[in-house]
Amino acid sequence: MNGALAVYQKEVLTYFRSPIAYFVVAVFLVGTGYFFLYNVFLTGNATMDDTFQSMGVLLITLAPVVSMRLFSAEYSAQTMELLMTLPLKPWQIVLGKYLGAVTILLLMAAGTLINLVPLYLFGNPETITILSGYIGFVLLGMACLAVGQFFSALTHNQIIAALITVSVLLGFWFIGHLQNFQSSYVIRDLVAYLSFSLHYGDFIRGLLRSEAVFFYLVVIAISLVLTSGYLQWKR
Amino acid sequence: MEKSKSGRTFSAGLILLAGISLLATAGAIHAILLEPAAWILLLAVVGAGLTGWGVYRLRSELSAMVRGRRGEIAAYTLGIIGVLLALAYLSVRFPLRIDMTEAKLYSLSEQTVTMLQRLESPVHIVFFHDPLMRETVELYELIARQTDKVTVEFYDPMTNPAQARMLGVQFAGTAVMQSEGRKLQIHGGNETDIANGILRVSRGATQLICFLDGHGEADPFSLESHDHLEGAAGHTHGIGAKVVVHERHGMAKARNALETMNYQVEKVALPRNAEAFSRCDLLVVAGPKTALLETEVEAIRGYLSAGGNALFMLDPFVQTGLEPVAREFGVVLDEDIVIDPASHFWADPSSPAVTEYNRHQVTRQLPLTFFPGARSLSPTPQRVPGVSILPLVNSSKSSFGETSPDRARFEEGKDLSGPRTLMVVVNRRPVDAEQAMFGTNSASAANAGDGEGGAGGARRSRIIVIGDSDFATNSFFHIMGNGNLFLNAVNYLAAQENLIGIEPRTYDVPRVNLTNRQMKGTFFLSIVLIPGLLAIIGTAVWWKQR
Repeated sequence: MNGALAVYQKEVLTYFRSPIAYFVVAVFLVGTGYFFLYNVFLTGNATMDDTFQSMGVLLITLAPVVSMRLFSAEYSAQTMELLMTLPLKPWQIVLGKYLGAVTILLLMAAGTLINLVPLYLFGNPETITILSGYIGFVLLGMACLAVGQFFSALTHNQIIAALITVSVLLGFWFIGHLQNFQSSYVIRDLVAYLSFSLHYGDFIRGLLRSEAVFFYLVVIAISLVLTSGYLQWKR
Repeated sequence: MEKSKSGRTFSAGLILLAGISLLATAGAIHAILLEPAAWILLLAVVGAGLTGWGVYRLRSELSAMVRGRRGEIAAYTLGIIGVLLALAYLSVRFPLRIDMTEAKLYSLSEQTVTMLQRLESPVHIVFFHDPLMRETVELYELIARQTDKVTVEFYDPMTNPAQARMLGVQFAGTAVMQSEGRKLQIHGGNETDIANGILRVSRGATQLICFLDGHGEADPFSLESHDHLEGAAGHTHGIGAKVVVHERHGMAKARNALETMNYQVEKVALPRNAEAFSRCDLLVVAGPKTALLETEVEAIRGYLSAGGNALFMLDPFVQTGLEPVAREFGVVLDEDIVIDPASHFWADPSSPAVTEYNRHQVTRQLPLTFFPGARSLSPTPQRVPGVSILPLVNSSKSSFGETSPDRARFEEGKDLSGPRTLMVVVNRRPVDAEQAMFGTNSASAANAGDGEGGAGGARRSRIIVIGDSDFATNSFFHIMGNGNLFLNAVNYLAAQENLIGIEPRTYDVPRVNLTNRQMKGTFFLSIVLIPGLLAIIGTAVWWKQR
């Protein structure tokens, strides 16, 4: 575990020494702030439902920018060999790097808490529903980062890693729409289950479902296991 | 020698790939067509054969791979993924939900849970839904989890039309509830509708539909198919047709359809049987040919004030005495007959035919309907407080309301120009005197009128007014969408009873009202301050690294 912690510390430092993390978080906060203001000014509702929905879409497009450099940058800087020769197990490298990216995600989520200030100052929002939305947001973000990390491990090119990740994540986001014209119930249930947006929607409307929580955890775990397995395979 | 070995390996790999591709193609085609076909089976068999052959030829390479380090890694990874997928499957099979909303919007009320736990007869529900009705599906699942007496099956009528046809279901959102040979269809998707439906079908409680009698109304027990009052105000079916025959129209086809849907049908003559009238779950006034007595009109008015619902089918040029009652619901019964030269049934321009409807539960997926001899309906000039009117069926733009029974030609200034409204649904909620005086239509008025409060102990009620009664008689009930329209209207009105008194779940969205200054402050905080600081730091980091 110490190995993973060392990788994590190095990863977080790398993020903060690079301008990308600052810009990604800034862009995310501008986007979230815009949607928050739009929803609150327009409807006068002291809720975060619509803002969370927009945050989900923003996350799908910005998470790959955070995850793309996790391994691709190591390949292109030719530091991957060095990393792999260290007395670390592949899962420790994967976990350490992943947690580094999750830290950025948590910063993004924490940054949006600023929106709650006027909501609580001038309104009376439902705290527990907002909490549920944040749980969904963090789980969705963690799943996106895990998928992004896997594709980052597969390619040396950061742009390609980001593009593939965005495509896959958008696929997962919209796959639920396929159920409209599925005649097979198995396929219909499957595409609904694979939908990031349907599960996320449950969280933001205040419904915590075990299958939604497990879905994101399983996506995270499978992505991390695949990344770890791939690194072992390459070693 | 080495080259030929790699060549063999390559060709075996190609065979394996071709085999797997054929298997996948067969699987995909089967998933699309969803029916067994010999050629798909053949494709699968060839695919399996090629795959087997490829694996056989690559056996040494595959075995080396499996036994090697990478094989172990692959097996280990796949094993973990398998375990994770099994966990995911278990989480779907045994779901847990925590409703985090303060109003408990996604949980069942205590009354429903108690009712479900005390159910005596098993209830099987077949719910027809489309993918957008996920929340209703979850509600049914939640109900089924409360007791083993309730079982639920789900179908999509689009993908399972045979199942829908078999149960007489026409659109998504319909549930067919069955218990001990009784059958009940419900269309509502909220907890109240579903719980009431379950209770009703399990108890065998049937709803009583009362047909007003004594004024020449269509008889729900008459099997006659073409009865007209000779010489009375009426209509013709086709040019030159003579109006003769029998006493009056029969509506036995409609009654049979209602009884199939677990309704009980009774004729009620008010002067004789005023007590029976209060038992009615729905009052149907099917085309009276003579005026009702003042006391009868008062009884109907009282029934509606007490929360009763009614279906008025009122023919043209007949004064029934119900005109003031309709006006109290904001509906004026025009003194005309609708003539539609552009869209009518067969050769009778006084039978306006309709194919496009306003969107409503009653008119959903309704085919063509026609109304042989219909009067038109208009809103009252002054809006009636507490009343919401929705026109459902309109004649075409070319139609007009002929105000003279002896003419069928539009005359400017005398006749009413089209399109004309043929059917309306009206919801009335009680309002207090002050609201009525100022004619307010605010949310507060709606809240004040909720439940049984309101003026003089009046309750919510709803009526449907149709400017024709013939469309649902034996002659025309079975043609096109006429029968469906009648049954949908009855279902819609009868579904208003509330057996266990569950209040519909309401949720007040928390509000935030910001002044301009506060808005500017929020904008600065959310969009400028923090993102701006981060952008400055990011630029500084980039500048330093440059």
